[in-house]
Amino acid sequence: MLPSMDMTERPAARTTGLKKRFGKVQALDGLDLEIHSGEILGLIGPSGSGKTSLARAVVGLLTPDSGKAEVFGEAMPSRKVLSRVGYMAQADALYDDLDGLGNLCYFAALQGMDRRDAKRRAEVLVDFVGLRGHEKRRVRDYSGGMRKRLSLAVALVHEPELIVLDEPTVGVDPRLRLRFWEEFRRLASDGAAILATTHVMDEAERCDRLALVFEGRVIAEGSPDGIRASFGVKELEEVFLIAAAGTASADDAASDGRSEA
Amino acid sequence: MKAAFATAGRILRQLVGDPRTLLLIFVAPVFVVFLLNEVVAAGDVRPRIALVGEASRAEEYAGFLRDKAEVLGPWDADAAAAKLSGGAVDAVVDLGKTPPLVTVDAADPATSAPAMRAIQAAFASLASSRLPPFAAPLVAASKPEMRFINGSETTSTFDFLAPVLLGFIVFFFTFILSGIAFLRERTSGTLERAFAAPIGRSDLVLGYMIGFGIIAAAQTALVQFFIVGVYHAPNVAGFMPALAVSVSLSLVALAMGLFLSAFANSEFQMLQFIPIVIIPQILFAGIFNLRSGPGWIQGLSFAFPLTYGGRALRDLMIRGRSFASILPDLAALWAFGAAFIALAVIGLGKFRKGR
Repeated sequence: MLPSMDMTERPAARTTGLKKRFGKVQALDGLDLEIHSGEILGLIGPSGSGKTSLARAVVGLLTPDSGKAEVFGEAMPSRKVLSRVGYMAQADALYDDLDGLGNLCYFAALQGMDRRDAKRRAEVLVDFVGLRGHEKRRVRDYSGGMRKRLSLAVALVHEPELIVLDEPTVGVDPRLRLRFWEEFRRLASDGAAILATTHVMDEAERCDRLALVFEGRVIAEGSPDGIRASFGVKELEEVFLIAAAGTASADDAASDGRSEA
Repeated sequence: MKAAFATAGRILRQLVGDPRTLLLIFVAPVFVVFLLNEVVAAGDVRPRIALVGEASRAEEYAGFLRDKAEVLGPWDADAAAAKLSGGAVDAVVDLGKTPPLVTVDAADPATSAPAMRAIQAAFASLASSRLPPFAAPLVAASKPEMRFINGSETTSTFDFLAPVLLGFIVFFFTFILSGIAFLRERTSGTLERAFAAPIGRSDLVLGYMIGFGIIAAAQTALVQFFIVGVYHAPNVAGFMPALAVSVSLSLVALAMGLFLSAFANSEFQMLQFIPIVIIPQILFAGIFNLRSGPGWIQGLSFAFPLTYGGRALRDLMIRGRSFASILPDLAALWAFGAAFIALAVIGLGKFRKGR
């Protein structure tokens, strides 16, 4: 945890009792979370544990069945605060027939930036994500890693104060991954709030705070070291094994009550 | 509004980045027009007519027939009948009988109709040539004078099909292109990403209308230029009124494409709308005369935008009616367009949450 962080401040984003069901799957099951300005909050959990649903709810792309997500004090979904939020989805979500700069400038325009600002900002980001020399190439011809980098640049184009990154480093080579995290750290120390989902445990170590998500709930929250200490484990993964064992035994007891409801 | 223009510009730039689609939009329709012109021109055939009977009589009659048909014979009756049933000739005229017996292969109206016209005309000319010279004015007086409205004796199948073709090409291409482009926004995640920005649903739809509207207008102008300028189909009302109708038609196709793409999960599913949405419209676009069709067919025709578009284009291009007289059809098109735009915007509610 950063010493400068003030927990009494209004959080950049907060979810309370977030629930969402897709058919038979309870993707979010009463999820409470706060993300503060200046911190990197890592969201870790197995696939299907609700990480992506949470990220989408925070940016207002998913309406929960109950509970709410607030961003900068505004209940989501709200268009008003979206210009302060950057979102990078798992899919690259780029226009293949445009070049790199074209993609950046278009999404900048959707954020309400004027042409000149958009262009200037796009040039800065091209350097940042290491796409200099490729910015005038069509995205169709980009490699997977280049697409991922451009996708990150798009999420940052309007200098958002809350940055939601859904698996930002999948398919990114280790060297670039390191650079991404250095940049996330720099953005956070400039005051941005960053919510990043990840599978990769060494990335988890780089977060200020972690939220371990399992079956739509946060089962543990705190610094990497704090979580390890409180569960008495050496590796963070072990927490999930404990949780899985816990729900398996609790399931029998709970299933009767659930089927009646 | 700014997001709408940005979107329109982005759509146009995407097209420039995709030369193959660009080629499809502008070259394919011209090719279709070229093909249609060649095919229907080939359909206006010279009939082949065989003669039966005495050589001198046959030669006299053939003299009047040759400019409208290819004349064969004289053959004996059995040989001629065999050729006719074998499809080698389209009609047989037996001059040995009184009155002469004409047998026509009616299987294909494209050959039987011109054959009958040629045979009748030749008999009429033959009859007047046998009269003494002083009777010629009498015959001339008894011959009806023909006048044609909405075209002339030389109005070809192509001329008649041109307005329908113009409307249909524009409708088809715009529907498919806009529908698939919009579908891709959904499947690639760019739609979601756009909605992670503070833009409205109507901004996006408006951007599509502007962007694809510009493409469709350019395409329409090109097709119209080829149909009218190069292949000389009539366009009595002039360039702009017909352009106004076909651009309106393309906006309807655009709005339908955006709306229906919400019900497709892949490009292939988008193509599945063709037999449902596009093909039936050809039947109602004016190629077939529905006047004597059952009531429900006539009723159904009102549900298809191409009914109005096709009628307006025929009225303008062939009949030369005024722009004011086709305004009701144009209004119907705009109503369709507005309805589908509204539906498309509502359909986007699935993705754009919140005000």
